[in-house]
Amino acid sequence: MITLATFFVFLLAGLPIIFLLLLASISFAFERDAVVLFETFLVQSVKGIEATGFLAIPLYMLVGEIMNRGGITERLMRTSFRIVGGFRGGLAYVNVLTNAFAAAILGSATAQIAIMTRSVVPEMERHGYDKRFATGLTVATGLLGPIIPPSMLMIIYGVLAYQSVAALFIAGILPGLLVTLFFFVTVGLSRKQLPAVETPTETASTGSSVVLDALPVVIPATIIAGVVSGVMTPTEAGAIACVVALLLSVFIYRSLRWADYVPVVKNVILASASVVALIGFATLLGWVLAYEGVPRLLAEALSSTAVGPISFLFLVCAVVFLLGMFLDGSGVRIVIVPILLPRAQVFGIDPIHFGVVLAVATLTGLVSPPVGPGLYIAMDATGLSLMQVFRGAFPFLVAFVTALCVIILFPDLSSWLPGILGL
Amino acid sequence: MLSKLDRWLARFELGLAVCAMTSLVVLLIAQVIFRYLLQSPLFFAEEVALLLLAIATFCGLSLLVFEGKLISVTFAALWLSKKADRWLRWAMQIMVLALALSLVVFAWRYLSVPWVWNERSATINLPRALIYAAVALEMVFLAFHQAVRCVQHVPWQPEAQGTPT
Repeated sequence: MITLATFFVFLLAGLPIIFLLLLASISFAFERDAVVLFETFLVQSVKGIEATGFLAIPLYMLVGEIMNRGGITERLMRTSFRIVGGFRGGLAYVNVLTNAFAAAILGSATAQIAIMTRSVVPEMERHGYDKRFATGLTVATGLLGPIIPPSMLMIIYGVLAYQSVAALFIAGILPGLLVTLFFFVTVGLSRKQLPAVETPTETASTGSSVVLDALPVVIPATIIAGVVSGVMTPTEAGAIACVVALLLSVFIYRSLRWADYVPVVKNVILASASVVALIGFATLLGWVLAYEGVPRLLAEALSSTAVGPISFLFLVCAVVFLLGMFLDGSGVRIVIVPILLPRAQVFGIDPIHFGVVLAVATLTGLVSPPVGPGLYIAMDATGLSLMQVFRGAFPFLVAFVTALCVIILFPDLSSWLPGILGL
Repeated sequence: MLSKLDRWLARFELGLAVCAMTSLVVLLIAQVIFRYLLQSPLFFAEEVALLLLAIATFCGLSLLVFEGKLISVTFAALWLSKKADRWLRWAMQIMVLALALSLVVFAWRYLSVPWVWNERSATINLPRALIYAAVALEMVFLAFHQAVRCVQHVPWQPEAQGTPT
């Protein structure tokens, strides 16, 4: 109880999340008179990150950073515009499609929201879209990042649950496309928000420019082909994707120079440290909680409430949603997976399906007030208030939650594709 | 003087982290080449890569502190006056410093036990305690950055440029 109160008081007071996890661990050990654990705190934090699967995290971040610096985002936008830009509200559809393409390269919702709110929202605003609508849409579509492969959340889940990351990557494809479809439908239903007359964006349409703009799809194609064929592990696919992205940006687009090297790597180091260190400290908290048997009590409480696999998954989503409002997705997974996966298996839930549901459910918390970090990133980029961003995103979040319900009700959406590919 | 030392230390850490991250990427690309093209996997690649990841991560964490970029929830700022908000942020900075130092103390106690130095890594035979010691050293650097920030951003003085968020 003291730990919980400490956690929320310091969370709202603005203690950085990483140190909040450390404080919660110290507080819990004190509360339970388990101070003997203190001496191994640093060791447990380091051990938390010593999993081969986590090596993929900085690699996919590097791909994203090269994509961002190398002008690949703009090219993806132009390609999307050629495909769906001709409709009324073309840029809103372009936003959805560009985010779906970017999701196939980036793998992190927060990174995607940060990049896209800075690049797509000003463009939409310039063409007469309401800023709240444009920002809300971009925040929601940014959630595609960890569903469509590659995905940081899937990597973390795969490591924690001892599941094939390749199978998890492939399992995310159909749910990702389903969410994309739901976003398209919601844009179509938001006719009042779409400007009546839209100025066409200047898009050169020579054959070579079309091919050049579409070339970044080689990056996700490399990852998927490498992983599905079994030639590469997801970590190695990330390394090769870095090479492909680098070749595109340096030799074909000529948009990345040697002078960009240190800033690019520095951004990757900072972004990767945020995620990986959080994994380390969340592992520490999970370890302290496990020492005191808390996971078992929580799991028993959840299992006794649920009557079947579907109700169990909905309950898990509720818990994950609540936790996701206060913790990063990686932190939620580290605390939740060891507790709930064994119970999910008792209910006959496929661990791959469970991983996909967990990934989608975690993302709802990312954009829900009062704490949703995705909203803060968008606020920072656009200058809107928290509630303005949330109101803009609300219809799309309804679509997102509806898609989550469909994924829960139809497990084949996540387990069929890995099954036929033999993963 | 303190700021100069702080910046110098951050530059050193950035250099170290860039080297670690570059080596990590190169090593993993080399692993793909050696495994699939030369049919001779590098037996030490994963262990060294994890070591490099730990170094880059904890250097990165220290740099996040130096640049004031640690992720936190700034919800309280919506309700508090500017002055109260500054005091609260400063109090949280002191808290981060205290937590970082406590982690260093815990690590020191752990590393003082002689038998922990006997455990060695699987492929390169490095004492694992050395890795923990390196991370503990990084936490000392982190604590130093945080101490400098606490001194630089005392709430009873006019707000300086680059106040953390």
